[in-house]
Amino acid sequence: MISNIRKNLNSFASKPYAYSISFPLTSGQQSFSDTLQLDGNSYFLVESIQAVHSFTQSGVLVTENVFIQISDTTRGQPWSNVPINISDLAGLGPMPKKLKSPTLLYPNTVLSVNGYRTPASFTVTGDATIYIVFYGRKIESSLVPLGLAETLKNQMFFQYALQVPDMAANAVAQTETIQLFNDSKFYCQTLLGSMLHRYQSLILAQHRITASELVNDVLFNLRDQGKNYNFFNQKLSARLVLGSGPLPAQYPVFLKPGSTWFQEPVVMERNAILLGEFDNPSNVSMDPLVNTDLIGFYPFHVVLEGIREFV
Amino acid sequence: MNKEEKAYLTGRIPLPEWIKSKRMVPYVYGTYAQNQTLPKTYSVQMDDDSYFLVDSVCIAIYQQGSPVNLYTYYINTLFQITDTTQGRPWSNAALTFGDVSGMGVSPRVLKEPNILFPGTIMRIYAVSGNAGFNNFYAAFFGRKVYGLTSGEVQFLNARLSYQFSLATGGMNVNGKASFTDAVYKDSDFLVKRLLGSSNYYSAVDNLTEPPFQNSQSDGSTGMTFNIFSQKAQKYMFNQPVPFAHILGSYTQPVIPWIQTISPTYGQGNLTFGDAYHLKKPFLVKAGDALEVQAQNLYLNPEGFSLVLDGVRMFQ
Repeated sequence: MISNIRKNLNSFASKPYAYSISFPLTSGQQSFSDTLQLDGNSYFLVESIQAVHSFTQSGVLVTENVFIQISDTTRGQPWSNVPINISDLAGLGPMPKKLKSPTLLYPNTVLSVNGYRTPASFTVTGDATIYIVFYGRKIESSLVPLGLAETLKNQMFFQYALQVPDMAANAVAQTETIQLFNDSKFYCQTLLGSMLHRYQSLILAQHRITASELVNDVLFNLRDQGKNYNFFNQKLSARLVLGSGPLPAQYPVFLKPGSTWFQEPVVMERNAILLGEFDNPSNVSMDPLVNTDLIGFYPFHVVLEGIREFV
Repeated sequence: MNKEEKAYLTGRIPLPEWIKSKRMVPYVYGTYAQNQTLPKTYSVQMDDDSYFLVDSVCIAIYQQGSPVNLYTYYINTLFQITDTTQGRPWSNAALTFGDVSGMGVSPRVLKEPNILFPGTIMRIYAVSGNAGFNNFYAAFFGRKVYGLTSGEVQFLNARLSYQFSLATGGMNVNGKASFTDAVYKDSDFLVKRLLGSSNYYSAVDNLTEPPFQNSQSDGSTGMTFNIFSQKAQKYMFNQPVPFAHILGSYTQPVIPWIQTISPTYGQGNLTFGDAYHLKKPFLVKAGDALEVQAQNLYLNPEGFSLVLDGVRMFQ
């Protein structure tokens, strides 16, 4: 059973703090990576992640995208199974991403951040900077009993991303699976899919209007195969069941991004196999080799966000 | 009746603590239909093996084919939810998209989850003033609950998350409108949130400008309202307040020039918001009549409408 980390640590004196890291990127630079070491005198409770992709060009349709994967030396674990789209990973100041269950990091922990922009041939060509901030609380290391810290270390914020298969127009029952790690249970609290929202709101709308094509919502269901458990009673609209973080400024689609969440988390056992089954009931291909409008939207992910518990 | 039971029955807590001892499994029921003419009623049947606590409501709809004016479309497309557990609708009238539901990024979370019997059929009535073919999608987030006794179910069903809509009808320049409607005689109604998405839609639609600009020449900034309880003889506010200060909307129109400039933004051209949450709920006793007093400095052909979101209490 997952612990209420905030409740466990509320009795200790703490002070608000933020660690940040940034990546200046030159035109055409795809990948980036760096590390950030936390102070040695305190634990750090990560309660919020914010990130922004700031680019120099204006007046153009920004089609590039940013994917990021974070890992920490407290547990020697990544925070996601693959790099996660910046809009699913993080929030912004006016639309913060607050972790439903914060993650405790030990003193001197090193955070590694690795990421990439979508391929250069797909991007705008200007320089850019990626800024990432981890908001939370510093708690003096002498205050927290080691036993408690060890217990709280056994759970962490985590995101599993399931890639949506490349789908031809009107494709049905396209499947993709991922297997959960064998060292931990997963408590899924939230579902996210920012790029599916963006695709649905912009690309499909464009096809609908300019090409008068038949467009429909992308439909899907998720299944924990070991438990024989479907998340939904049938395939449902991705826009209804997936949340999103903030999208680029040119797309004023969300003023208040957020997400659906489960009041009770979906519990998935170690090694569980998650199956996603997708329909693309539109006359518009979701294969980037066929449909170049997908530039900047690809790959599409359904992100399961929650808590990984090492048991 | 203990303190917690009383708190539940009077809408002060979302659920009694004892429900945590029951086996609960997160689940989503939903449905969809494409290329539909309206009106139509869509159904979702709950499984027979469990009760279902409805935590949030998400609905999406859009029109196929040539784009329509989004605001006209959304103001004229209405929904009403009914379930066969209580045999009651979840609102006194069909409501606009932004009042009755959110979407994935901003779901309408019920402050008081509704409990449904095994096998319950949820029906969503959809009607539109716009001709054409529509795509309709609905999802109800919640929890399957196992092992409830009949007494526990009866207790949980003494409440119903509910929305009460009041509308003035069209208003002229400098128009004043007073509209009174009686609430139900079988239940008190505890108002916790205020919504009025159709006001935002109509303000933008009429003028192609945001609803908050001072230079507006329609009913947006000039419109004020207050609510009077005839039974309690009291107003909700100390004086009439601008609707934009008080009323929420789960979906709000974005600045409309996007719609004109770029067809790219046509579908799904709505931003997402929230309801206005009252810090202290407003109690409307059974049999009371609510009077909405609205004033509009400018022409407002759609009139003013208000949705009180809260909980009906049957005991």
